[in-house]
Amino acid sequence: MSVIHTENIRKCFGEFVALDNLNIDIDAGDFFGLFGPNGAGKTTMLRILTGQTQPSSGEAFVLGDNVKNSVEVKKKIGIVPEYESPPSFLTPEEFLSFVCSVRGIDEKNVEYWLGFFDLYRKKKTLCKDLSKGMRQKLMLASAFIHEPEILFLDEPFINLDPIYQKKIREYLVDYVKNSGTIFLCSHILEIAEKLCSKIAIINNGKIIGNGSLDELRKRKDESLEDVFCRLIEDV
Amino acid sequence: MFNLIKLMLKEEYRFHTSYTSRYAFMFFPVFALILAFLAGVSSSKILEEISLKQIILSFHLSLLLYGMIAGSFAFLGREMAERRFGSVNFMIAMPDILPLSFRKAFFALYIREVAFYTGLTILPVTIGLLLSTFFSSIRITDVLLLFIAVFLSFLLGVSLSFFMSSIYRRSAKIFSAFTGGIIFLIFISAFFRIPVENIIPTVSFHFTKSLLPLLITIVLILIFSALGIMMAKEEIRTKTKYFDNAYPKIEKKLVFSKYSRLMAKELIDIKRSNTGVKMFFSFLMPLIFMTGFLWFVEENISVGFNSISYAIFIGFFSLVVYSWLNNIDSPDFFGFIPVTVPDVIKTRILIHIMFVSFFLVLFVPGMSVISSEIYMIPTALLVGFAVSVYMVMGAAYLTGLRPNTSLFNPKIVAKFWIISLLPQVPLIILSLMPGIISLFFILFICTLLLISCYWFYRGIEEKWGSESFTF
Repeated sequence: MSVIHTENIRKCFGEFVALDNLNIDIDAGDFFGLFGPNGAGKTTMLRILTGQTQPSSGEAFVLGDNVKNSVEVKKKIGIVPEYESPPSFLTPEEFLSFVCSVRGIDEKNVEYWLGFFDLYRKKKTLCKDLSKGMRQKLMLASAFIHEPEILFLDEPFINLDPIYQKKIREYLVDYVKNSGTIFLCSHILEIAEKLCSKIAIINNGKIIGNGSLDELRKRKDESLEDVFCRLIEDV
Repeated sequence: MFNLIKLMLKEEYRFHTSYTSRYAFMFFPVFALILAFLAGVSSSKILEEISLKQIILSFHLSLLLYGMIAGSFAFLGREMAERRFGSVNFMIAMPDILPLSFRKAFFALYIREVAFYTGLTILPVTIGLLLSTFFSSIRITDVLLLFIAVFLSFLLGVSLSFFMSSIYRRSAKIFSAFTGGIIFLIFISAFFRIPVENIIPTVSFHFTKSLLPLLITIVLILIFSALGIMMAKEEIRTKTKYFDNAYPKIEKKLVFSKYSRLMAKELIDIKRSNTGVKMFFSFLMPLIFMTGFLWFVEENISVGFNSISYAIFIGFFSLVVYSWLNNIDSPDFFGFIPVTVPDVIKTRILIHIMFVSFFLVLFVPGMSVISSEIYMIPTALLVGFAVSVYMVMGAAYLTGLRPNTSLFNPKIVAKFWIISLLPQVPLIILSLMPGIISLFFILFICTLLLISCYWFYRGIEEKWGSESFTF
């Protein structure tokens, strides 16, 4: 069953066409990776699917809801943005309490996620005084805390140390096993290759490759990086 | 240095035009020029009503205040350097990653503020007045003298703000003592009826054209700006503070509101970012300015300003509270949770009403007691409340979460002036006419204002419902 479905999504900023008639279908339980060079349109696509910005034309549906109804969509999903930006004057503990309150869920999970990301010892420090890595962990915790049906992750491994990159990888694999769906944008292709079951390559706002890694390979020994470079160079 | 200033000017220009079209932004100085030209052409008519001395004084006080407001962005400079403003970063943060001292960047910021705001308003107004000399009795030399003198008033305001911002960064206590000292001096001057030209040297220079006040002005500007820049802190990190989880307790106290979840977060922000103090002082400054202005006007031409007129002005100036509420932190992260832009706007309106009600209760009765108008307190409070709620609703409807930058969009400015002047002009005129009939009309207008608030409040949903949080 398709949990993310788009119909001719187009996004323009003035005369610049960031996304050009994109059609994507992602099924429940997919670990979907969207890859592309800088400025290809990955983040714009993620922002449209998460209701953060509206498309110039076309329709997008997440879990059956039109993304125009952004509040309903955001209730069901977790978002990790490209820039780690928790509120400056709240502590990590307060931020997670706030997220629980807005999402209408019990605060019992706050302690668990503070512990999971080793944020417990920083729980009384203002977010503005945290390191980038700590802030990234906090954004991940805020996206995971309500056990959403779909996770939208924009460069989730950036700023994380290798231990936490591994920990997050394992968490995401378990999450998909338990019927969660993931939409991932990343430049770290080695990690993505190990995780993604479906892949799309985007360039200049257009999808230039879509399917499983095996379907996109020309040779059996081709890595995701090789596929990526080949498709981009072919354009 | 020249390149840095040039880039900062480009950055400021692009920052403003990112919210409006380039042409709309450029219309702002053109609008100022046309307005000044028309004022110049009709100067003989205006001078029949108001004396030249009053006009000059108003110019200086306005420009001093304008300079202080423009310079107050220096307060934000350090904060912008310490954190990204959402996904946006500023040139002032470059000392973090380049071999450039923060003092040098701060100096460039100072020059940028002066150049940008002079180019945006003072210069167009001067050109407008110069053009009007062909159609009026105003002399070119008078306009040039006005330009030099008010420009110095503006510089004095900017320098004072930079100086104060550096003190604030060093010690909040010294800052409070210094501000308290300035307020005390203003009150003493008002109490002993010391002429304004004896307090502000630029006014004295303008009236007497003598060298001494000019010299004093230049020395003051140099001292304030040099000290401000020299005292700017180089180090990036401020002292890390630790806090217990205050969110659930505050949220529980606010259960009466539909927006308790967001209000609790905003109130914590206000407290920890010291915005409450900033709001108080930025509210106090125009009030002091206005009190002085009203006192001056009253001294020269007995217009009949009273507590109700005062409350109307307080209601208008209360907009600075809403402006501060939108300047505390980047709203980016709201985009990742199920809340909408109208939710945040409405939350901030409610907080605005809470704070302004407090300020009204603090200032209006005080003013009524001083003016021996205790019987006016209930009406003045009601009028102040109605005007402030109406103003914030109107501003929130027009500008959303970006009240400051939107004010450089001429379309929005024009709409803003229409919705603010339309009820306020008749209210001020009625407040000057004591009597039961005028009181009836005042209450009638206040009722209309509150009804309009409902319309604005509902309109916020429609206008901002699909807006993104991204800065």
